[in-house]
Amino acid sequence: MATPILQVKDLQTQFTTHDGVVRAVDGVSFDLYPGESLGIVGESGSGKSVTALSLLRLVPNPGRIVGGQVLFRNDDLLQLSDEEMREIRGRDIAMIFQDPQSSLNPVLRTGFQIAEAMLAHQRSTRSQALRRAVELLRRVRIPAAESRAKDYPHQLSGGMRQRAMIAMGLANAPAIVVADEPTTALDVTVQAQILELLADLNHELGAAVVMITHNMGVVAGLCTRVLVMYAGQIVEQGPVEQIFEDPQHPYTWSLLKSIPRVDAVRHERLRSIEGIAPDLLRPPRGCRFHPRCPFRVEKCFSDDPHLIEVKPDQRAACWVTMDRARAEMGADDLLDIRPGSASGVQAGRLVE
Amino acid sequence: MTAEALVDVPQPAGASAPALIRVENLVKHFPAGIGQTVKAVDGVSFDIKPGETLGLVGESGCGKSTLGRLVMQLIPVSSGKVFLDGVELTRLRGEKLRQKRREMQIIFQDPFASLDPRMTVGDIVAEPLVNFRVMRGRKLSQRVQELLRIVGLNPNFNNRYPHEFSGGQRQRIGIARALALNPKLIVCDEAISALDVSIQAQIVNLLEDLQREFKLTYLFIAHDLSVVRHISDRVMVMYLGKIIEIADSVETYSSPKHPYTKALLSAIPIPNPKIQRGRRLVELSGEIPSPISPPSGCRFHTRCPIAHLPTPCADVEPPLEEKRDAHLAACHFSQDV
Amino acid sequence: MAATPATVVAAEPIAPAQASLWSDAWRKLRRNRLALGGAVYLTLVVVVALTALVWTPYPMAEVGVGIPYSAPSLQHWLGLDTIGRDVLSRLMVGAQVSLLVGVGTQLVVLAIGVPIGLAAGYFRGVFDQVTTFVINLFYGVPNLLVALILVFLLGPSLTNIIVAIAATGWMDMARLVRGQTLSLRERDFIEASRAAGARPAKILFGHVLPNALGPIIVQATFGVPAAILFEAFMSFLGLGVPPPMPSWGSMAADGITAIRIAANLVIAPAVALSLTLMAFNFVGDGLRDALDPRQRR
Ligand SMILES: Nc1ncnc2c1ncn2[C@@H]1O[C@H](COP(=O)(O)OP(=O)(O)O)[C@@H](O)[C@H]1O
Ligand SMILES: Nc1ncnc2c1ncn2[C@@H]1O[C@H](COP(=O)(O)OP(=O)(O)O)[C@@H](O)[C@H]1O
Ligand code: SF4
Ligand SMILES: [Mg+2]
Ligand SMILES: [Mg+2]
Repeated sequence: MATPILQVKDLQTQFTTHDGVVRAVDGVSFDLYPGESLGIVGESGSGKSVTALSLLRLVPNPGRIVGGQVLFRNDDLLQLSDEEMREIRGRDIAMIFQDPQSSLNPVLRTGFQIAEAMLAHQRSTRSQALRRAVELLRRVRIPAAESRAKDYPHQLSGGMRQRAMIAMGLANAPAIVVADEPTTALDVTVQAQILELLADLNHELGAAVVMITHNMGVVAGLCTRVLVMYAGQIVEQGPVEQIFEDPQHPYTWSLLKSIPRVDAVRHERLRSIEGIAPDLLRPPRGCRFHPRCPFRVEKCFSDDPHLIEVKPDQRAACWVTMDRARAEMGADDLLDIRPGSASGVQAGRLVE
Repeated sequence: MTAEALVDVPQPAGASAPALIRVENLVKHFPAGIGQTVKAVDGVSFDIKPGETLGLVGESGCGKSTLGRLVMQLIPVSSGKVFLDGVELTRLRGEKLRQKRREMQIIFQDPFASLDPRMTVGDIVAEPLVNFRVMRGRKLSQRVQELLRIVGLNPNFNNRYPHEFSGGQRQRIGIARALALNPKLIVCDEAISALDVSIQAQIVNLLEDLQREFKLTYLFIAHDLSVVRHISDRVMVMYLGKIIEIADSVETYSSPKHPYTKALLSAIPIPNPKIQRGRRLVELSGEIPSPISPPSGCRFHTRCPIAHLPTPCADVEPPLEEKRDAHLAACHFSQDV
Repeated sequence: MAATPATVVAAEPIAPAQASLWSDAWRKLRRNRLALGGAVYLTLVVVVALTALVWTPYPMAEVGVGIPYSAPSLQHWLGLDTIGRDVLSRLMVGAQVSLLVGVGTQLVVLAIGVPIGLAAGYFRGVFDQVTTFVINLFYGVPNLLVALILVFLLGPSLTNIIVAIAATGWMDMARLVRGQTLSLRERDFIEASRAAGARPAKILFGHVLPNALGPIIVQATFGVPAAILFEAFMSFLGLGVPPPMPSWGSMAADGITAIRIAANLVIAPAVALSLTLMAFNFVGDGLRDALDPRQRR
């Protein structure tokens, strides 16, 4: 892969609430390569959406980006003027949200809105833009695109609205499409169609796709690389196949073990991760996963692990990593995933 | 045995059927504007055996929640019958029906909306016991603490309010409330759909443990087919107010007999890149039709990849019939699936 | 039942501590200067009214405790009225009347409007249709007009004024409660309660009412000054509480004839009245902001 099209360096985004400062994104760094499809997974509240919004400088109040860089074509997006940033949004980087209803204007016809999105960045006549809008709607496989273009958003079904959003996102042939849980609100059959559409667009248009989801299956089908987020930080990243086959961070490993699978042997007990995700107002000291980690050792309680190369192209932020957990702690024989269950070293220490 | 002893279980009169729940030709039409009705549930029959978990899947709007509420008799039926242990619930009214509520409970999808924000956790869990005057005073508070412990919550939290808990913990509170009266049946309406995957696994495991321990019967409603397969003994698939397939869950997933089930299954992304990339999606054409005017004949014919049109699919409704041992499907061409 | 826990107790930490609606509302209310000031002033009015029950500087109805039209002095802080009664004493007793009318009306309004609204919203059906019809019928008619006519018909007295205001006042309360009930009855926790065998009375008074209490309190708070103002207006017209019982309205009416020589006779009750009305409105505004769930944090 050539040079990255987008480089995120030590991104920090915080929300100042009256209870204190929420470090929603805390030192996130990653590269996005042209034409690739990068997945970001993690539980809700792990900072996926805020990361995406930070890239486009759309973080809502009381949120603020307090540090880091977002390099796009030699520019640091965080340093651009508001006017320059508006140019980038929609033209170079498009965003697709979970709820298309709230991002489409309810009183304007769908086709017209797509045409408007085009006219904001391109010079062409209104009728040309409208014709292009219909083409785009056909492109995202909306049946009877001409008449659908004249419909208002509420007249479309959820799946069609999401297609219309994608059409709008594509209006200016962006280099990057950021999709934040675009299929979470949809039924599986519709989700599958939308994912296929996104995959096609990724291949045909060569736009880099950042796919944010909590669904490991979606990542498996669509993405080539994946970032796993936990409590505002990236805890593991690497090629999808490698991460699914041989996850090195205990969180990734536990997450994969906790999903029931249609292709699994039935009535194998699920291995749940005990406990709940940390409160980002007061994240745990040391490794943020340690209160729930089965393999934690003494160091995890005090020292913050950094992402290090654990396999070719694969990086994980863990003092133990799964290779060691397997070799020394019998990870594969673990029946239930409980805090500290495998290490024993730290039994009882968690309370203090 | 405290609560058990006080719950009088009327023996069904002519209890020939071993089913705990028997549903016959259930119909629910909601009024929708002038002269129109939403055919939310439209002629559904099935039964649930004691101790089993019956999964119910289908796309949103197909009538799953309505069916669950009908089984619980939380809304009146338009026509049809529901039997609990041989007693026809659809005939009971008022106090008689209320007494029957001891035997069935429901857990909702939204752990934030299903607990009264103005009540403490202890009061929420105690409510069913208070409503039926099963116990009071010290005994009641002991039972509440016991219930909290059973669902894996700290029993000392009984004075806290729901908003102090996370989603998964609130769902546990809802489960504790459902368990309070030692019900026979629990309807889980998307009980885990709003939770994160790691928390989903906790709740699924809890439900399985409770079932084993208290001999519970579940009607498990969900749109996530992989969870349903994991937890259910049998799976029932709904489409536009009708049941189109019922079978053992392993069998449903390995050899579906209805093209809709097959399409649903093909659409679930499997969290394994090697398998997922090689899978083929069974494309369904078009969108789910409106339940106000469902298609004629087989309701699925407008989207079916194997339909023979116009006859028989567009004009003859396929009956839900046995295609193999205890494997029912409603399709004229189930052999082609 | 076997006490063996099915699973181990889940990890201890519960979600970040959040204030409940009421304590959160209290915190917000305390930060609201106007509402706080209003509450302090109203407390003072209540104390004064209670004191007047057992003690006033002079007997409030005694004529000629001094020279009529006397300006405020050390003996008579607010002066003397047209027939030589002590204004401060009468003002203190007037506070009783205002509070009685204001609070009394709202208690009647609550007692009628809340149950009707609850029943209409929860059971729907014929009862709801009839209530809604009646409420809509009266919606076009100004409440003040109805109350005025009623006082004319029933004759002036404290009770009749309360009856006259409550006669239409309950409708606004019932409308509000019905709307709240309609939206609450669809909520999952109500259905859960029904599934748990709760009877309608338990659902309405145990679940629906506590959750609708915020808006009800706010509306009742705004109803108090409206009633006080109406009573003052009626007394000003001579249709209020019969003499010698003083009311801020009748005191102002008496004083208005002498406004050139002793303005204090009008100013004293007018200021007391305005401050009270303002205080109730500030408290009402504060409560509304504090109890509005959309504005939490
Ligand atoms: N408007 C906001 N005010 C305060 N905190 C916020 C706000 N939006 C998000 N957060 C915090 O940021 C964290 C990350 O949120 P988000 O990126 O939306 O998570 P995800 O998309 O992974 O579910 C959460 O813990 C949340 O508490
Ligand atoms: N109270 C109601 N009034 C009118 N229509 C309703 C009502 N409840 C459900 N419906 C309609 O019935 C259909 C089935 O709904 P539901 O049972 O909630 O589906 P599911 O749970 O499968 O998503 C939907 O079309 C829905 O709009
Ligand atoms: S009956 Fe016909 S339309 Fe219906 S599912 Fe079978 S093949 Fe398809
Ligand atoms: Mg998000
Ligand atoms: Mg539902």
